[in-house]
Amino acid sequence: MNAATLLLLAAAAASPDPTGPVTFNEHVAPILFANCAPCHRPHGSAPFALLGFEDARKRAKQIAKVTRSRYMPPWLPLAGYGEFAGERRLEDSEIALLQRWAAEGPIEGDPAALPPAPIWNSGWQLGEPDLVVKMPQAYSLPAGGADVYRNFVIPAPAGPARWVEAVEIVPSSPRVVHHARLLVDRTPASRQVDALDAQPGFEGMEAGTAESPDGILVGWTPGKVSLPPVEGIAWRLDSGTDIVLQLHFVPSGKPEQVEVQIGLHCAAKPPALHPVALLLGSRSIDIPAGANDYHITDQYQLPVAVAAYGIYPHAHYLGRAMQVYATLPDESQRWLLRIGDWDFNWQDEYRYVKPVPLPRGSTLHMDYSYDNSPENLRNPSLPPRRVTYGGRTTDEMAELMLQVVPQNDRDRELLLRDLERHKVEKAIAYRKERIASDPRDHRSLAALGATYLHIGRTSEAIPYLEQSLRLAPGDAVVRNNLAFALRAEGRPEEAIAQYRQALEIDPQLGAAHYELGKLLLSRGAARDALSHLDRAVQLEPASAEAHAALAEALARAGRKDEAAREREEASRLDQHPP
Amino acid sequence: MSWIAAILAVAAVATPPSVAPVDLDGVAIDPFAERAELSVFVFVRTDCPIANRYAPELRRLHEAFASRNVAFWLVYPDPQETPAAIRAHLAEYAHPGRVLRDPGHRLVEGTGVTVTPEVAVFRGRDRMIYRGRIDDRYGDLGRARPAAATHDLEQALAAALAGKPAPQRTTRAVGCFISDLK
Repeated sequence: MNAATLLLLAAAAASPDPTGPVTFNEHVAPILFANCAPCHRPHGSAPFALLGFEDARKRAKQIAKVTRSRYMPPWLPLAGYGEFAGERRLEDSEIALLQRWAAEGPIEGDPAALPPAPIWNSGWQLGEPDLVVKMPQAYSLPAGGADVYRNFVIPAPAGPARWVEAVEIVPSSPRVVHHARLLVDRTPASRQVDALDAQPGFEGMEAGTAESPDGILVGWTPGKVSLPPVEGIAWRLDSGTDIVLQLHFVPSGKPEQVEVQIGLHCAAKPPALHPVALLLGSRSIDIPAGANDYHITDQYQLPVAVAAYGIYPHAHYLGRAMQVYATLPDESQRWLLRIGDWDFNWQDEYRYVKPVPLPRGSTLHMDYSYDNSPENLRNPSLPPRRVTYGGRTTDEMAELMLQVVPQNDRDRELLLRDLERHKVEKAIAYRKERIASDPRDHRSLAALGATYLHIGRTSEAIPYLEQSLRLAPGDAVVRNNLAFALRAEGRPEEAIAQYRQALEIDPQLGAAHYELGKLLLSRGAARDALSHLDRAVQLEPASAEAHAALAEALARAGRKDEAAREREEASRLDQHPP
Repeated sequence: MSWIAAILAVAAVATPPSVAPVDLDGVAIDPFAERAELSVFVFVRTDCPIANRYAPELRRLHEAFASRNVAFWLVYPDPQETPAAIRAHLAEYAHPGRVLRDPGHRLVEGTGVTVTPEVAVFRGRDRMIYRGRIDDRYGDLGRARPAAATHDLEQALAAALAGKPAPQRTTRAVGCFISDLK
């Protein structure tokens, strides 16, 4: 907000209840200049300007209606449930003035009372960025049809690692971009998905391996002011990784070529604070057709004290009310976010004006409600249909990301470990629910088995993996997992049989060759082991473990020179992983 | 002009006509003189985002019905929109059909439309057989479904061509208030 805007706000507050007629110049213009014109200006992100009397007169009743319903200015969080930077909310007295103005006239009033119109910088709001990256090519948005959700992969620029402390996202056509979210993928997964077709980017709202960088929320929505850096907070951008820009487009009626520029402001030194992205939510979503008050809840007790810096709620078109609060150890309640009428089109990341302290032992609660009735005017399906979890707009999600900063590195490690535990518990609950609703869901059976394996509860993994294989016997990976579990449970003969079956189905399964080879070696079947370990090394030449195991098998077979060579290769790979 | 009297009779709105509808060259036009079986009046303005968003759907309907003796008229009721601005808008959004300016709101008042985009469909010059929304995509300002479930205008046209009444004679359209334009 610039100085002019602040003055205007003061002017608007000066005469909340005029006795004479409400005029544009004296009463309405200050409200519009401060609250509407940042978007509703020539070349702004809104579809029309609201700067002059004529602009506003031609929409007087419209302005009265949309401000009364608080559809405009768009700002979802309710007042009094968390204080956020860049809040866009009209005072009740301002809304009352706009109603009177539309009803009384609308009257222009004394030109001398008109404050000067605000002036906007045409370029970057935060000054010249240190680095500008942009989409590799423009995206052609069609004139009509449903909204488009697309992810664009932008390689990080070459050079040393950078610490990004502020980001500005500038679409070439801000009128068709409704939301942008910046993620970083440190794996090649996003660029591989992008490469599947010739079109720039790929569809969908599920981010896959792309994450909010270092737990920091970075996004843009029309009307959002670019926020300056927070002292001590920055995220690391390494060359070789990818920025993934998730964009929500709303077609405007004419075809548009859209390019997006990202201005990166870099810190001189690494950040002092290390945020954690604390995820609450659930995949256990199953909303019956017609249900108008379906709830998804989640809780999490903080094992360490943290301060909350920002919050990002996420649901799709059925989402209605959102409540997020913490119950503190002294039983008091601290609100983190409350939204009365969720609107997916105005989803946003919110930054607290002051970080919210949450003592150790506080329990975070999230409670989202969903309306799948035909009365929900945003319901994408008419008549409504049963809706379950998924990344498409016709599916639903229930996610909450809280950006928190623990007090020290030790607490941070503790929190990360505990969050992993919470995540696994939720994954187990989700899969069990899927299996309960469909006992023949072999994918959920396999996933639940894999989750138990992952956390070392091998005996619990076995029955689910076995049941999955009864339903889908041809899955080599599930069979490989079962073999692994059987071996861990001290049932080597059965494990060997399962590995052999897995390899019959998929002879290219390097992991199975390796595990079977090691198991055979431990049971003295050196020759048989040797052939499998040889194959494992061929299939996965970069695996130090495979080379080491092969070295041992060669040594047992008396092939000392070859064993030495493999041992050397293993230690080379250990020290210089590819 | 007798046709406007007919509209007024149908809509039962007794507003004295002031300025007749004109084309972009300022020539007064009687849209019923062409004797199309059905005439569709689509009220739009250059700066209404909801009306603009319907451009592809209007093209689709125009393609489907224009060859079946259905005349499409885009009506611009904002007296301040110049012919040049309207021409630019037509090109930008590739709007189909012929164009009328209605600076005196004679068509607005004769049909009873209240927002842009809203449509009125006439059989001959005598009977308004449908007035309201193009489809049900918008339930309110800022509340749009990803796609329409009921295509009211399309259904009304198809029914009329088959000699049947529209499933609903009137519906509530959502958009930018025409009463703000004077």
